[in-house]
Amino acid sequence: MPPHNNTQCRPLLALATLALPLFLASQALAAGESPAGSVKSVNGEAQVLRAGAAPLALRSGDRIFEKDVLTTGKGSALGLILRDNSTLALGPGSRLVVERFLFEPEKGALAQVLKLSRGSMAAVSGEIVKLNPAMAKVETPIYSIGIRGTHFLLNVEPGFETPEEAAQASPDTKELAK
Amino acid sequence: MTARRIALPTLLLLSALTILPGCGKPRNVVQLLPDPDGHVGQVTVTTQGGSAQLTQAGYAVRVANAKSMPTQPEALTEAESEALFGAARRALPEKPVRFILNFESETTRLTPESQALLPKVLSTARERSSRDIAIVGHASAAGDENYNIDISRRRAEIVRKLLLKAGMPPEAFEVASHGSANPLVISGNPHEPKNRRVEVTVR
Repeated sequence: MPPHNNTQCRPLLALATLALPLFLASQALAAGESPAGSVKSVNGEAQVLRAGAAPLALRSGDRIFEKDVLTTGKGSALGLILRDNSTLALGPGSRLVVERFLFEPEKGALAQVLKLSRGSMAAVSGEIVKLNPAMAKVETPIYSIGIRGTHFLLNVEPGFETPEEAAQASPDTKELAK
Repeated sequence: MTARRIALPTLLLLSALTILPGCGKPRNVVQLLPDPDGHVGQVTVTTQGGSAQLTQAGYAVRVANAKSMPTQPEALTEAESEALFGAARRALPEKPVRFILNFESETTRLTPESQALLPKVLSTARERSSRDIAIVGHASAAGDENYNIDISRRRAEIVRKLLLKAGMPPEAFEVASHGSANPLVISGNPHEPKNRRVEVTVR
């Protein structure tokens, strides 16, 4: 539609001007980084904290990226499936950082470092552990776990995390950007 | 205070400690469980004080703090495992399901067997309420790699469109093409039909 002969185009044009930066930003995000996994289930309240962004409530199907900080509320749980088909779940009052995730088996590029600073977690390891177990670990403030396979549970009581980590409260105590 | 007045509460406290699961022991716990297929794996728990290995299903170690050595592996009661991990265990997603769809040589036409598999792919995605479906195209080794990457991508695209048409949510899909870089079987035959495929992972 040629814009010069039709005033009806103005709102459309304004919309396009508004939408373009958003579109570009979403493309940049998509191009910059492939997801580490996705949310399979949210039971109660769970949120993600990303650098420079407000906390976001998580829903089934949301993609998860390296460096994401995931927290669950009181009485809540979160189920995740990572790209190497490892499955994991956080119990109530948990905080997990996807510290490192790299799954490009055709290039031999593999890494999976998860940091549980408080709470509980269930996990079944996937392709990364199968291909190179040395590249996978789970860290907590007081111990770390090396994995040769596959199904395990871990718990770390609150109080061992750093003050910064503790300040990232669970979702039920904070206003959420829905 | 007489000895009797102290003895009763002490007795009650002691009996409570023996009844409550894991009471008085460190509550930072790592437990190994059998894999979904029954096989038992292995995890190593390490602190600044040392490390301990878990090799038996149901066994667990405890950690008091960063400097202490993990405890010797012990069988964890179901009650304590439930108290510590119940919510997380119940939220653990089922293992993703992978389907392999094959194609006629040099085409984006599914083989009749793979065509017949599509309803199963759809029913699995629906049962799991899947919002994460990876579709990766692969080619056999024969021919130019640019062509292989292109035809793998077109095959993956065809599968995406079929699933989309059947009502799967568009945002669920992630499509990729690996050309011949990721063969399913190592074969002397560059036209190996098993490698000419699209892998659909329903998460």
